[in-house]
Order: sequence, then structure tokens, then C-alpha cells
Amino acid sequence: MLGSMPHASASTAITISGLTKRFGSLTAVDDLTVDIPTGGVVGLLGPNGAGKSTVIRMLLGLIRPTSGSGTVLDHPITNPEAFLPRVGALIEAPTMYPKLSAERNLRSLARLAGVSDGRVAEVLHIVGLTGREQDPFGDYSLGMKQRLGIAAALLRDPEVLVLDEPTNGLDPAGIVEIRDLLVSLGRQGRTVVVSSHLLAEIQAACDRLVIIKRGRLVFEGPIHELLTHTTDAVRLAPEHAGERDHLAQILSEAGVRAVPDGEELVVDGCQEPAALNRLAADAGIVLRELHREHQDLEDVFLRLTTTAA
Amino acid sequence: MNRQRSRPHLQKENPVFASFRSELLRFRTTARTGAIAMSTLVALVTIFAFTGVEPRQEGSRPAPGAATDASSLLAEADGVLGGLILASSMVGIIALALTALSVARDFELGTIRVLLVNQPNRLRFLAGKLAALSAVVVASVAAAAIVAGVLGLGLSGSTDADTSAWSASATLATYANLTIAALLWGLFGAAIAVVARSASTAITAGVAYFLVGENLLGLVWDDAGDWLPSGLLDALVSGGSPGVAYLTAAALLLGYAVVATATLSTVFARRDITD
Repeated sequence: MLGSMPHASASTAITISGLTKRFGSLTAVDDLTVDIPTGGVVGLLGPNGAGKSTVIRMLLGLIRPTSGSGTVLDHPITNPEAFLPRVGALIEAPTMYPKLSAERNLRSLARLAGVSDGRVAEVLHIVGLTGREQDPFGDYSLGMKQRLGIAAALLRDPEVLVLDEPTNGLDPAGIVEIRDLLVSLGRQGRTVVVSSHLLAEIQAACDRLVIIKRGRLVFEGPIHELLTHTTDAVRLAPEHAGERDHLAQILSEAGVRAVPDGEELVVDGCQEPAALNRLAADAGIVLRELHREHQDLEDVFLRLTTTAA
Repeated sequence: MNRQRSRPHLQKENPVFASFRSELLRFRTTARTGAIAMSTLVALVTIFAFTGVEPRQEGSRPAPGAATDASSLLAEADGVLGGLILASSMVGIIALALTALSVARDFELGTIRVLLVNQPNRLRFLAGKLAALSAVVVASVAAAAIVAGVLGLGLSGSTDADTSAWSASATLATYANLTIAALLWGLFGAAIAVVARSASTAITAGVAYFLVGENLLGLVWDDAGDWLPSGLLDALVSGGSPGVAYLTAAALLLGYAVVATATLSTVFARRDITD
């Protein structure tokens, strides 16, 4: 079983300050500054090549930063020996020895980490692999490999858990199971950092988000804050389709940028839809539709990562 | 501050020993493969060596060729291990391939990431891994020596081999030299693998250099065998050669071992893990 953690304090589990990593002429991570508080589930989002894996590897001591600094559990990331015994990680695809059984793979890692063999059975039970532990790792499905990778990350009963795409390859039931596991780990006071491309999963499991693009920070904060602040697109449609461009002209003269979408117009960043209605009415245009558009995380993510610098 | 909590499942163990035990758990197949490969090779060479022996007549000149070389070898004090001595370079190549494969495979599979997250002190991890690989090489050479010895003793009675000079102390000394030589081959293999991070590249580079490269160098440099690793390893196994004394060969090989270890450790400790 997983032990309970002290209640989450206001302390910071991970700090990143001006972290930069260059590979030759490529800047993978560019002056990134982020604080991740202790306890809860934090989503690390970004399009392919955003630098998520490089950030994770720097946090785990696998890659040295070019410049900048960071701490994990109050220890500098340049001294991973000090904090890694309290950290569990699944980095990119789960990798183990294909001809060895799952149980022997885990026992080998347990020995390396100084963890008793008894813990192996516990983590196998947690991820639902009891009964399949003698199968060779190479015979496992992607979902089972993913579960085994999470089991390996849990071996040391970590305070900080870093999981790169943990639900990759899982079936819907498996995704829900792992999501519930992550949420329960976060509620126990552990800090869970999870990167995923399944935005709905991130939205369901995470309390906070860190969004990066081209190695730079785009957003950091509670997920509700991101969704609240960005649910401000307004869609409006004139009663007569031919009035669309005239309405766009009027709005433009009032300093409002409206983007045509079919017979309608979409206004981003609008705090007062009533003001749009007033402008249309003053110009003698009757609106047949005026409503705020609900944006989910996917909409926001796509907007941030396709337009933000 | 983040508070640490007690973890009853954590054990206090020397990290190098923990790494050694962890690697041993994975190396059973490697050890079996190494022992079978070396033993099979040595068995074949031993059988050919003994069955190729021709009776030497008083006053006659030795017949040319391998059989003659084998005859002289088998008549030495350590002749019971003649098959192993004749195959020592190939046994060394097997040791090189085993270690190169085991080290490079972690980079190829990506398991190095998981391993170093569980033991972030890279030098301690490496020390444990090399210790485990050394155990595999020692066990494989021991298996090959047993095969060579048993076949040598068995075949000596049924052939014309001269065994009058055979001695246990000389045999043990040669066995020790063979083991040390195989360990050095293994160390060179590990060093090449850490630099190459690819098993096929490491094995190809190792075999190409030690079996071909040094021989080619010998064509342009007469004393190459007295200074370069492969020639020195042969001299070590033979207890010295006409060009280089045993202790000189051992001292030079120690120097090569220090360079290989320094390269291996520095590259492994400092390189980013991007695999």
C-alpha cells in the first residue's frame, strides 16, 4: 500500500529558475522559470518538441542545464543524489529488459534503489499487474508496459512523482484507473508532475498546469484560472448574412477585432458581449445570435501553443 | 521545508554492492551465453590440438603448421590448458563482445534512464555494473578452463602428447593470466561501448581494431606487438614473449587499463543521457 503523506504545505516541491538547455544551435529549453507547489497533480503540456522531456530529464539529473538553476525537494538539481531517493519517474516510453519477467525487472530496480523485494509485489498490485508478473516484459502490451513503468516509479514510495505520458497506450478503463491513481497520490500530499498529450485527461486529473512552447513558458497556474481567463470568445451573427462584413467594419472602427467564421463573427478577448450588441444595434443591425463560447483545455492549449510567442 | 518521512521498505546497503546485485540479477543469461560460447570454442580448439599431435621421432624436425605448434604447447608445464591458450584471443573477443553488448544495450533500450534515476551516482552504478560483468567474465573463463582441463586430461592419455612437464602451479598461473587478460578485454569492450552507445558499433570497432588494426600496424611497425594492447595480452597469457617480458607487458597493460577506466568513467559520468 502507499503510505499517507503529510498534508500538503505551502512549500514548493520543484523550483525552476531561468533554466536553459542548448544542444548545439538548438535551444530546447529557454530561460524557463516555474514553481511547482508541494502536493497535487501538475500537468506539463506542450506540443511535440516543446522541451517537456528535456525539462523532465534536467529535473532528474540526466541532462545538465546549460544555464539557470532549479531545486527538487529543496536540493539543487545538480545534486540528484540528494533528492532522487524521494522521487519516482517514468521517462518517455517505459523501458526494461524484454526477456526478463516484469517481476525480475522490478526486483533488479528495487535492488538498485535499495528497496526491499517485498515492495515489488505491492507496486505490482497497485498498478493491477498481479498475476502477470512472471510474463516477460517483451510480451507485454503497451498498456501493461506503461503500468509496469508506473510501478517502477512507485517503488520508493516517492514524495515527488514525474510521469511522462503515463496513459499512453492504455485502454479507456486503464486511463481512468491511472487517472484515479494519480489523483489519489496527489490528494495524499505527493507532488505528481505528469506530461500528456491527452488534454482531457490532464483536465480531469490536474490541479495546475505548466504549458511550454519551444522551451518557453506560456502559462503556469491553476487549471481553473486558465479556463476562466480564456473563456472569453464571443460569437455573434447578424440576422441577415449579408450584413456580416458591415458589422465587422463597425466593430473594427470601435477597436474590436472580429474574425469571420461562415456567416458569423468571432471576437476573442471580449469581456462585455453587451457592448457588441449595443454597437450592432446603433448601426441598425439586428443580431440573431450572440453568445459566449465555452472553451475546453484543448481549445485553450491549441490557441496558446499556436499563437503565443 | 519538505519533510522526509520514514520508508520501512528502504534498505541500507552499499550503493556499489546494490548495483552489483541488481546487475547480477539481469546477467544470468549473459553469463550462460558467455560460458557456453567460450567453452564450446575451447572444446573445439582443444580437440583439434590434441588430435592433431603427431609422434615426434628422435632427431626429426617438427612438422610445420598448427599441429606442431599445438604439440609444443601441450608439452609445456601448463599444457593441460593448451586449448584455452590457443583460443585466448578469441576468448578475449568473446569477453569484449559480452561487456560491450551489456553496456551498450542500456543505451539502445533506454534502460539507462531508469537505472540512473534509481542510482543517480553514476560512478557507483558503473562500479557495480563492471563488477557484475567481471564476475560474468571470470565465471565464463572458469567454465572454459574446466572444459579445457577435463578434455586435456582425457585426451592426453589417448594421444601422443608429451605430458611429462605438466604442473599444477604453472597451470594455475596461466589460468590466472588468462582470467586477467579476459577481464582486460572486457574492460576495453565496456570503454568502447560507453563511447559508442551502440552494441554493434562497439563490437565491430573492438574486433576490427584488436584483430585487424593491430596486425596492420604490425606491417609498418615491427615492434607493434610489444607495445599495443592485443600483442601485450598475448604476451601476458604466454608469460612473456621474445619481444616483451612478462612484467613489462603487465605494467603496460595496467597503463592501458587506467586509460580505459578513466575514459569510461569520465564519459559515463559527464555525458547527458539523451537516449
